[in-house]
Amino acid sequence: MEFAFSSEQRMFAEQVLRFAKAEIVPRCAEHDLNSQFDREAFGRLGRFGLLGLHFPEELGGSNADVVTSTLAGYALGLAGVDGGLTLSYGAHTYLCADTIFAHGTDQQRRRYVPKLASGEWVGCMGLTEPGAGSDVAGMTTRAVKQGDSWVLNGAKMFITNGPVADVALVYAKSDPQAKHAGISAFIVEKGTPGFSAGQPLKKMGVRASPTSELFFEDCRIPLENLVGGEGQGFNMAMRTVEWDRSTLLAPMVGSMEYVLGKCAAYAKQRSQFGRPIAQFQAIKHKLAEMKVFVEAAKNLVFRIAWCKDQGRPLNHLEAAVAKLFVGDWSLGPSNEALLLHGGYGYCHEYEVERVFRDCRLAPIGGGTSEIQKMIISRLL
Amino acid sequence: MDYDFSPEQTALRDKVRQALKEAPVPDLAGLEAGQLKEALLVWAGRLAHSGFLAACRAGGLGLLLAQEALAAASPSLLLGLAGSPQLLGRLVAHYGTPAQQERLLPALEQGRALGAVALGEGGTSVERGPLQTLAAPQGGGYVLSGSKGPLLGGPLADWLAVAAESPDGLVWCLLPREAAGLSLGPRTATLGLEGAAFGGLELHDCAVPTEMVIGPLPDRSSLTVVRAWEDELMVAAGLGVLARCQQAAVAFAKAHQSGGKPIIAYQEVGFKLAESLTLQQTAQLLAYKAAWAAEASQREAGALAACAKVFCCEAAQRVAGEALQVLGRAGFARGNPVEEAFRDAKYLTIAGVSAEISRQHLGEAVLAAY
Repeated sequence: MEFAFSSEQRMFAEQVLRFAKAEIVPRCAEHDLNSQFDREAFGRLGRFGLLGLHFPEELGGSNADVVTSTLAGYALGLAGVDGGLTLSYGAHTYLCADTIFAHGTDQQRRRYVPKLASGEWVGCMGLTEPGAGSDVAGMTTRAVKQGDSWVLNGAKMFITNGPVADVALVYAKSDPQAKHAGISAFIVEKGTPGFSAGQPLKKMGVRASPTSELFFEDCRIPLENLVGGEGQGFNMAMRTVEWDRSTLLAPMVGSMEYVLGKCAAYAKQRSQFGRPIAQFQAIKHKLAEMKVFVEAAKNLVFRIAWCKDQGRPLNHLEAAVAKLFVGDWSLGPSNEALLLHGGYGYCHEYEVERVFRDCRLAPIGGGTSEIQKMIISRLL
Repeated sequence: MDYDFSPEQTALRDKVRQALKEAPVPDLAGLEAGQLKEALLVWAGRLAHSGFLAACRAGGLGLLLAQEALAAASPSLLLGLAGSPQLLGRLVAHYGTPAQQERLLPALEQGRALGAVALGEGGTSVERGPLQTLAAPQGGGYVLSGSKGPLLGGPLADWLAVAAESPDGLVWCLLPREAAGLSLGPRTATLGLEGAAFGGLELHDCAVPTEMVIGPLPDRSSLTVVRAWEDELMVAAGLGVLARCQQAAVAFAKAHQSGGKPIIAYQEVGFKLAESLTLQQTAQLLAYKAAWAAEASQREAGALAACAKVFCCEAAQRVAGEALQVLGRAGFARGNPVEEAFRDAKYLTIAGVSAEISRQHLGEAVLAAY
């Protein structure tokens, strides 16, 4: 067992940290407050290479391993990038682009992956439905083969990047009798007749990440837009779990470490009763709680990334443990961070307020904490 | 980065598991002092062959894995055995003279003698204030007077290291149990860990020759160092408690039926066990990383050790409580591993550096880092 990152990984993380602090972070607060997707910042992520780190060079990537990719997400959070932008980055890169890369045909890869990796196009994934969240097999969006087309009908809900996506990877039932084995995945491009996105949903947190419904009304797409074969959709969606529990969780953990630094700095400069509040035991206690969470969460998240690098099949138990811990146990420290700032913590201009709101998604998105407990208890 | 254990890291654990397979751990709690010492020495001899006792002096991730396995079988056995080489053995190895090392270490590491470290006192926090146990110079040595609170392994110890305040600074005095002026108290009745034997001691004009004195030391850092070694032991015991409770609770929840199905199938039970497993795995990784960091002399080793202490020991307490709840009335009855673990776990957040002080240290480390 060895927990150190390689010197190359550490150097790369430093580069990401410097880049994000200079090029991204100054824009974050405004976009969060206005619930606005920062297309410019997203493009900068693409030009820096972060939207396709693990893709091969010929498709616009850098052949990075999963640990390095996870470290990049962690560094974004650590720099102070808001949870909205990192969520959009994660959903785009790992839920949409990677699925096309991993399961698509050569033609699909060449058409979509380079443009998604560069940030020229924004991607989204449509899985959840108004009436089917964790119960994936209960989805009702239908895909029917008609001549040389697939025809999609139905709706998707809570779709990250939905309002701004140029490419949607959509899961639909191609065989309604077959439950999980009847789910297939399709690429739907923006502008396709019958495909539309709803208005951005007004959310508590991750506000710079636009979320909406997707609607499919007799939406006709070419047969070659099927990804990975008929009935393969559920397995493909499950493959994203590895990314979700590593690269998508990492920015949240980095973000908590960022907040820890902010709290320490605030505690040293804020005085009450004639001395900095950092000298009070109750304040040190809060800092300790945050520190323990950050160190514990890092181990769990990078374990998933490292196992994927070893080519091991996903360990569902460990993945659920990582998700459950980051989801449920981040709520306490993010609350402590806000309380440490007192009245200021309740105001928008202090980042702890934003992180507090952003963290609330952790036990919900990508599989609720209850689902993680269900998975773990079944595997015990 | 590598999340797999190397064969070197698991070698000692495998030997401990083998020893546990060959000889089940007796009910240590039910033994009177003489029998308990005999049983511990038998186990000490058994584990000495595997190198376990010598490894307790060296520390490291391999040792932690071995101690976790031992504590999963019996937290009392771990503390009863490992406290001796890990606290007294390390103290002598780090601060003692070659002659002192030659005299004590072979006996401690070959399982021929048990040792204890006498640090805590009734009326004060020893890390902050001056010790109330005094060492008055006499001849080349010292004369000790004072008392020490219940210490791990005290009533059974063949050798003790007593921390005391001398006019020239802190000293550690190495005393055989039969030293004149030293009275070892009886076993203190404790909430848990009855098989580890706690007890206090009194010192009345206890003369210590110079060759058995460590110090006077130039500073007081050895006090915090000993506490850190204790913390390592508590973390290992915490991992053992977690494993012991989780294993028992899952087994019970699968076997116990309600409404025609095992109770693990009910979310009130299954989800509880899922949370406990999450705590267990998280605690393991934190503890393993802290042990790795200490071994690799990482800059953050101290902070990681404090993280591990706080999280592992509190997780052990919480998981023990949940496991007991899962076992219901069966868990509430005396003499099952979960109720034992429930009582044992309380000690872990108290001993070494308490959870409260650990958090203060961590908070200070964070403030220093930013």
